[in-house]
Amino acid sequence: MEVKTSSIMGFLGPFLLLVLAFYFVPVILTVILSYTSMDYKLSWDFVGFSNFEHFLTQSLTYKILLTTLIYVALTLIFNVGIAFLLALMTTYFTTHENTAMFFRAIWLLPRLTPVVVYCLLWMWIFEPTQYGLFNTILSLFGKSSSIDWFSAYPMGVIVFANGFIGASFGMVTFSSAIKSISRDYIWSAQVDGAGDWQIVRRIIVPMIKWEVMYIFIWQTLSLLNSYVYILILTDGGPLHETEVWSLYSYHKAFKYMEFGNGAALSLLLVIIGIVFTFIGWKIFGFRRMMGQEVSR
Amino acid sequence: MKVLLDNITKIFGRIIAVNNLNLEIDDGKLVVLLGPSGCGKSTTLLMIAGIYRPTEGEIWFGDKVVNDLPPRDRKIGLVFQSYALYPHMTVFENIAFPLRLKKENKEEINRKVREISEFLEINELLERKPIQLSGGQQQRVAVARALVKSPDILLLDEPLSNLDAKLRVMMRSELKKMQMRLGITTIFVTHDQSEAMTVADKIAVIKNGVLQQYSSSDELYDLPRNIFVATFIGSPPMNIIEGSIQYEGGNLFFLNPDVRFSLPKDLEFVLKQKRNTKDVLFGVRPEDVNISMKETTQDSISWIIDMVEMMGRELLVTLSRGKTILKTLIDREHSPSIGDRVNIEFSGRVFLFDKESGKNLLCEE
Amino acid sequence: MKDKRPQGLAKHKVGIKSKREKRGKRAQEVRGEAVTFSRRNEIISTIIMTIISIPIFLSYLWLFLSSFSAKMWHGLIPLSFTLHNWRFLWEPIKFGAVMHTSIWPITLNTLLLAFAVTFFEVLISTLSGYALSRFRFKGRVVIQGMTMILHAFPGVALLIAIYYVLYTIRLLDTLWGVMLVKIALEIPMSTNIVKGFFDNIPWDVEWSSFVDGCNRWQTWRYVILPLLKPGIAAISLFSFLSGWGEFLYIYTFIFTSKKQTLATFLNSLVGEFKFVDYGLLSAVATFYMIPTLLFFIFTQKALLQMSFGGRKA
Repeated sequence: MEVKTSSIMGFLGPFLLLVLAFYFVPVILTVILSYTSMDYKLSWDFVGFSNFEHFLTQSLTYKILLTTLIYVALTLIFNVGIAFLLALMTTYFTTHENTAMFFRAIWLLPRLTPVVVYCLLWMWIFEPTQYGLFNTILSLFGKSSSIDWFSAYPMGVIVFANGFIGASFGMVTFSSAIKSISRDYIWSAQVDGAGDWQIVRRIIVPMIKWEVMYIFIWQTLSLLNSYVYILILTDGGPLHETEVWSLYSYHKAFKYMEFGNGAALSLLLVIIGIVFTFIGWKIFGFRRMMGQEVSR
Repeated sequence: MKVLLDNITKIFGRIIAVNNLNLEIDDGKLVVLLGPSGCGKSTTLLMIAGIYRPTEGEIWFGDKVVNDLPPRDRKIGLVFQSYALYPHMTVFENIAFPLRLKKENKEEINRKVREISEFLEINELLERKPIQLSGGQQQRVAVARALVKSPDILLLDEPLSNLDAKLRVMMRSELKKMQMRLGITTIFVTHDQSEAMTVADKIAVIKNGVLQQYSSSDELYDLPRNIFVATFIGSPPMNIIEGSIQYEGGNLFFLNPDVRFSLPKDLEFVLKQKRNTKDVLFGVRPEDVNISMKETTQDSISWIIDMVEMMGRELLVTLSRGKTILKTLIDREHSPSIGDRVNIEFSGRVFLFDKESGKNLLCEE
Repeated sequence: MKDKRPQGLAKHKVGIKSKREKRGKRAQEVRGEAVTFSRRNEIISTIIMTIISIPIFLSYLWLFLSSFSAKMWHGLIPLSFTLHNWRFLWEPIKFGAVMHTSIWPITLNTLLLAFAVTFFEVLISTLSGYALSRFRFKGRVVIQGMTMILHAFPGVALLIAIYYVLYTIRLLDTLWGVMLVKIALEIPMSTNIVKGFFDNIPWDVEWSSFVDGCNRWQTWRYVILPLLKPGIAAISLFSFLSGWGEFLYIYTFIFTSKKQTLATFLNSLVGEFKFVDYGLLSAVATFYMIPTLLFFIFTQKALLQMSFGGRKA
């Protein structure tokens, strides 16, 4: 439909303005900043590639890269796995819709909870004394001494906290995907001789594999860039054990006020993110080209 | 394999989907479950398949009760309206799926899949994905998948409804031919009466979960048990006129404020036994009504042509007289036009149904 | 070629939720009827779900219980009832020599931020979602592709540059600045969701309104908006909760303690009272959770119908 430019601007103006001010300009600024040694004085001193060179020569950078990869991989497996399990159990294996609704709702709650409250819950769960949930559970199994989770297994703490919140996203997507598989397929498979497990493995999983891929890519991106929970729970500690790339960049900028360094770090992260998106785009674009819209 | 449904009832929550159904399906026969949508025919089929469990009653395969047998142990093949071909598998994998689940060895699977796909003439398509097939091809693949494990019983749930009209007519005769060649007991669900009539050895007409009539196509057409069957079978449907019967001077008449038909003598004997019946529904098939343009004074019955619809070889003419409407199928040579006055006569059988119960008065109890 | 039932279509369609829910329900019942269905598998799966859900429901239960009790057995079972933990409602909290500000102005800040974010986000995303769904113009594809790329550019990676932008436009250390950032970083996603809602409203409806004499704005106001109500309600809900729970931007861009919200307030309390006074912490947290819980209880069914990709972990 033909429309006047003025009316388009009326509708899109505010959107474009905000995106311009807080996305485009910052993207360009981040790129420029990463070549400066800007600090709390906010002055523009260009230093060329020295920020990047600095990181490449530091062994801490590689430790942090490794931590990031471990964190992303573990959390990804944890939350996609749980999401799939929950989706399957609340759609395929549960006949009582109320039970299914109850579990789905329970898992939605963390996502709606204010960040700080959610972290407080996990501080209690991993509380180092006998008052914490996990230590209480351990004591029920006869273990007398309490474990100081935060210093003994800091990575476990952040994987759990992020995994539980991330699972609901996958769960919602997978549940609706499984629900929309026509019952004819399931019934056909039953007549063809498949049991519950075979139906899951040979019918349901292949039919929702695009959703699984999508969630994998999406969650990878989110996890690469998520550090708020880590910031509150461990603040990267102890001794950089849970310092992931994005958190490191945040610390550089807002703790040590080295804005130039921080920008260089986040730029690298963005590049990693773009690579992931590009891969995802390729895959999904390819899918459309093949006319392989998932049939159900 | 002979199939016997013994007092089958299926209740979903408060809805009675199938009510006290008894059906005996002889070995090697093709039986159609026919009825409007939501009548319980698919539910019945799914109970035979083992996907639903009957609330009451027993299902017999041969001399065994199969109520507690899961679908995979029933030795059945099932084809859905949607075909339910697994989109992520090739045609070959689809057909081989039931065999793989039975853990048959590779050569055996290969051999059986080749055999069945040659039989159904789809051996060229084995490497394709379902999405690359036409509707008719998909249908054949679905049939192949159902047949590959040589089931005792073949169940078809509206297998032709997703095809276009021309293909449907072709496929139904092919299905029938195939069924006769294999001699497999087949249960076929459809809402299309003409499809049912052409393929079935016997038809079970179901309405609201209750069996209305179970008989051959001929009998269904010639001797419908009740008004529902009478109007459901045949296209265009039978004319039904409300009125009553009366004897006048030894002759039997059907009349209402608009019309007065004299009824054939042979009805008299039957009706005498049901003397208390007065209010009836009179039925006559459109193809059994003839019109003549000639002016006659006899009975001074004349009808006005309200509408003429072209049906191809024939014309469907709607006649009215007062509030009574009558449809008739006539040859095109008559070339009637709207507003003409004509007379009618019945060339075939006429029916009388009880107004209360809808039962055909000419059938024995 | 495939099942003709328009399930994919129904998935995102607005306003037919209850129908879909009923259908889902029936499907579940039907499955229970199946001969093959193994009750054993259902029991096993319920047990597994319960076990993996334990941390969630026990921790929320703990939060509530511990806010009302003075002492708890193993931190789990309350032994005595008290309102002492809720003292922050009528007196400022003391930590050593430090006196925290009263909670009420902070609550007000939080509410203002949440409402402002909701209002502007809904307004802007409906406008732009409509334009992207309905207008054909040069650059539409560019903008759409852009909103997709922006997914990969998480706001958090741009925080440093945004800090500089806020500094330049003199909005650093103001709630307005935080609000703008929050809206801007969420708007591409909510625009996308709203665009999806619009895509599901048939053109016919719009065309007939044009024929009936509406101009574009009137169509939008009198025809489209009413059809969008469920979708808008959902977006509002999410943006409210997201604004209400916001932590990072406040933590980063606000330095004056008077301008704090409950998030940073609770965070600083956590820093001081962690492992010391869980009673107080849980009472403040419960207080902070009230809107969340209300929304959760009253709208969880609607929430479950919506997928809400935009709210990142």
